[in-house]
Amino acid sequence: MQNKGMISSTDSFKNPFEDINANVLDSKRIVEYWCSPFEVGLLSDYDENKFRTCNVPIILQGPRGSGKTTILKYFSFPAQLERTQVMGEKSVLSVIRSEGEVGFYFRCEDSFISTFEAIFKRVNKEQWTDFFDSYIELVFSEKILDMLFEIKHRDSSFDVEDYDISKMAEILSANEKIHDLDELKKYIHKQVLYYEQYKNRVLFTDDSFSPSILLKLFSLSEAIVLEIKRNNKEFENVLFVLMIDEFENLSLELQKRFNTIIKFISNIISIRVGRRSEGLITTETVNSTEYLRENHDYLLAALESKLDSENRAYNNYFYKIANKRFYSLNKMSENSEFDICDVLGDKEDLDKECLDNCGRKKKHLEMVLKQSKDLANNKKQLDEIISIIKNDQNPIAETLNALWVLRSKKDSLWEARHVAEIMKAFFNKEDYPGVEKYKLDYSSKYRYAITTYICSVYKRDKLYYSFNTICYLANGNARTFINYCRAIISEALFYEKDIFLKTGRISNHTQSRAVHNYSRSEFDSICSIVDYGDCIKNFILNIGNCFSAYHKDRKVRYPETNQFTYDESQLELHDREILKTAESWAIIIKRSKTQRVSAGNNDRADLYHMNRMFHPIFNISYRIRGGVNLILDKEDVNKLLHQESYYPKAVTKLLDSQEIKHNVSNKQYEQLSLFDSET
Amino acid sequence: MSTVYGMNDFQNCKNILDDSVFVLAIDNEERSFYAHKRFSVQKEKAKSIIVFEYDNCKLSAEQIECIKDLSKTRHIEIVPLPLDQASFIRELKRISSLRTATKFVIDISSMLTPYIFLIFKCLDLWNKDSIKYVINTIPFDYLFTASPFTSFKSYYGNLRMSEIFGYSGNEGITQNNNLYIFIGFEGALSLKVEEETTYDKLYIVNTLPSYYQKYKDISIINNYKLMISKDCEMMYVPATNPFEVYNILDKSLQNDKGVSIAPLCTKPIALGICMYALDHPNVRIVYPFSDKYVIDRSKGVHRSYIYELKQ
Repeated sequence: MQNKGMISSTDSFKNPFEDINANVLDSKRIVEYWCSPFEVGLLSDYDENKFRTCNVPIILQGPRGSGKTTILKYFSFPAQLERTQVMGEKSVLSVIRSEGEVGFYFRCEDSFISTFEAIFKRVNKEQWTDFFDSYIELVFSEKILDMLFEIKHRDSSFDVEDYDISKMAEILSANEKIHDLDELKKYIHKQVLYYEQYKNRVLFTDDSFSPSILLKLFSLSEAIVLEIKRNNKEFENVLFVLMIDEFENLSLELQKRFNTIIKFISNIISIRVGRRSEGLITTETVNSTEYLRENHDYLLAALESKLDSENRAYNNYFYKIANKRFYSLNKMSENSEFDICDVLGDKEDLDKECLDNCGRKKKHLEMVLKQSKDLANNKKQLDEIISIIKNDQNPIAETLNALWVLRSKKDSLWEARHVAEIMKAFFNKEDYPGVEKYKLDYSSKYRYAITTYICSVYKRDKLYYSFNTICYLANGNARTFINYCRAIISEALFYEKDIFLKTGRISNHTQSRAVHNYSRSEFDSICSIVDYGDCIKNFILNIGNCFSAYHKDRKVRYPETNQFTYDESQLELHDREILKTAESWAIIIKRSKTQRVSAGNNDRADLYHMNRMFHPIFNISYRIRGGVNLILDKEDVNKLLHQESYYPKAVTKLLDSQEIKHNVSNKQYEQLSLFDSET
Repeated sequence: MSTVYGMNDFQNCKNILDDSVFVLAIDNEERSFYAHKRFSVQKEKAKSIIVFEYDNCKLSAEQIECIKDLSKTRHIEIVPLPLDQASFIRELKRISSLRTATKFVIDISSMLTPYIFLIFKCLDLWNKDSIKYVINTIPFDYLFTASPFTSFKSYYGNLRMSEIFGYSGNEGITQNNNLYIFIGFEGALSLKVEEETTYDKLYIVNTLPSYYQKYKDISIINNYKLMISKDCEMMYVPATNPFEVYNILDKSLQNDKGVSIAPLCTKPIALGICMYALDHPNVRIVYPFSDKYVIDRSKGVHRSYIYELKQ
């Protein structure tokens, strides 16, 4: 299908997915690209209004790239200024008033936090967190004043002349130095600058730390906010919100500090915290007997909680994100007929993929049927069965037929004729015994598994393309989805620009090549920057190769097996820490609820899978299904983490029995070379 | 205005050590011995000598004797090089000559980049008017354990981001300015910096020309993922000329706007960045630190340059 009107001026077409990381996006882009995760139900207990105006602190939790920063930035003052323009409002005041909130965004950048801690801890080990509080309070207060001056600058009718700043001056112990808002702002800025300059000198000069005043968090800012509310009616019902992003970068001491503030929050200023799903997060406060309690001291808004059950919500979200970016960057009207589903295709066509891989070859049938010793030794009967069960137009169906023959306890020829009849009835939509089971096997249970099996037989990479596939691979992560789209569009602009710009459609192979490249590149990048990156890389490569082996099983006994489980309490402490790191970076993902351990084992346990974005590396299914799961003991986990090539016993057994170990091993080395791990 | 001038081939220079404090670090690389051996051949004598010693590369008695010969009094001060910045600054504070001497000859060939920044910060605060000569010896080649382009690694274990102490800029937690990554051989370092640093726009700075053409290829290949995955602008600086680095920064950056710089590059470039940062308090230097570094990273000697720095 063509995307009519998609690209009006082919010369000026820009890849709409170039801006990826919300940390780098300015407020204009944040507003321009905004697609509300609230509207599509990703944070089902919240709507935008509740998230903005709820007095109770909210912790926004999600993995890297899930959209936390975008959300926090969207609700902060610079974005409100942008929205004023977009909404055609005369003054930002009316936007703030109608939204009932004004936000101030801070990112806890690792370099800044670690340097601040290292330096001020040496200045005073007991008091350094007080210094941090005071610093943040000064910066926060300065930001609030910046907001006032910005409003005043844009709206001359905004009155700040009658502010009584005596209370603030008193808090700062600077009554004689501060007489108006301007002086207040300058004074605060001077205090902030003192911190910065002191930080740059102290270790070299041993100067003593003597700030004019040590403030508690919200002590000054609350006074400023109260004065704003007293003077400006527009702010009467507005909640001031401190947005703290990347909370996990704070040391445990600072987290405790913030937790205490969260626990005893005032009703004038609230807090929104953005943090990774896992990581070094504590619920302790500075008081050793008090802990933060969810739904009591704070509300949790988890961006990943719906992944298991509501993939459709994510598809809807990503669909809006993609289309919005096209409209924004290429200045198309929202009424044009552009649709990301048309660019990428809605869903993949597994029948066509298999047909392209097989042609008229029947090696895939032979390899299945030869798992029967009788047939392996009887070429004539093997050929006869193939001639009965074959379906030249449908490799998936004929492979399914071969599996039925292989698994039947009856005479192989009889079973071949029987399943051929069932197949015929199924495609002719006739009522026939066995059709229902055939339909289930063909349409659902074995469809994907047979496709990956056929790819392995003909040594082809599994193709990953279509909007639906990209959504799956993105694993509910907006940044990953945008990255995939960016890679695909770039690939298309390089390899098939004319066709793409003319038809608005990108070929499956180009999509798949971009997906494979991005998956490998991202895996490599992440492993090079996370703690224990080498061990995590080993683990993913080893576990991925295990699943790859399962996907190549010629008896297709483990359709789409891609989950694993281990007993965390049994692991060595160091191994547990490494896996926790992998989890915090969403390299491995824990299912939200405990599940049945594996087919035939009804115990319940935590199940894990690799981030689906790595599945293309191993040509395995992106769907997470039940069935057989890989059960790892303590020794398995240890070796998977610390050895470059290790297969748990269960997998070794499979490989030995089908003599495919050599292939898998070769494949692994082929993959390893892509990740720069020369040995 | 540039504060850096004077660049000569080290082989052509004589009487450099006269009345100076000679500062050097020793590791297993051949280049770390080059300058002091040459001084020894030329029978040059320094007033005093400070040798920084890595924990995993202790000086042999023979090396100590050889270095002692360069000192008029045969007295040398051996100073441990602790990995954490604060401890290193503490060690520097104990060296009285850093405050009193009028002339320094500093061989940075085997100093890890953050140490270079810290030493010059000390001198800037304690002894600003002193004359400083800086020697950098370029190795003949780097050690690539396997295939040439991707196997170079200078550290073990995990990386953690920090500002280099004394170079935090002046914008603190509100920092959200341009980030300049001066790339080197290791893609992991630049990826780490980009991932963990707040910035507005990214500039990737490569060296041109490099000592050898292949080094540019290597740094591009190893940083390619960063280059193609982010919206960034490429810039170029010369690999051996700190003055040009200073001047390019001077032209490119605004004095009134904060900027973050990650010096993952050659030492002469790092020196240029250091000089610029000392003159501009709005500059913030970020660096991916590790707990342990590889000490044998290069072999042989290609060339050696000496730079004269004056205020």
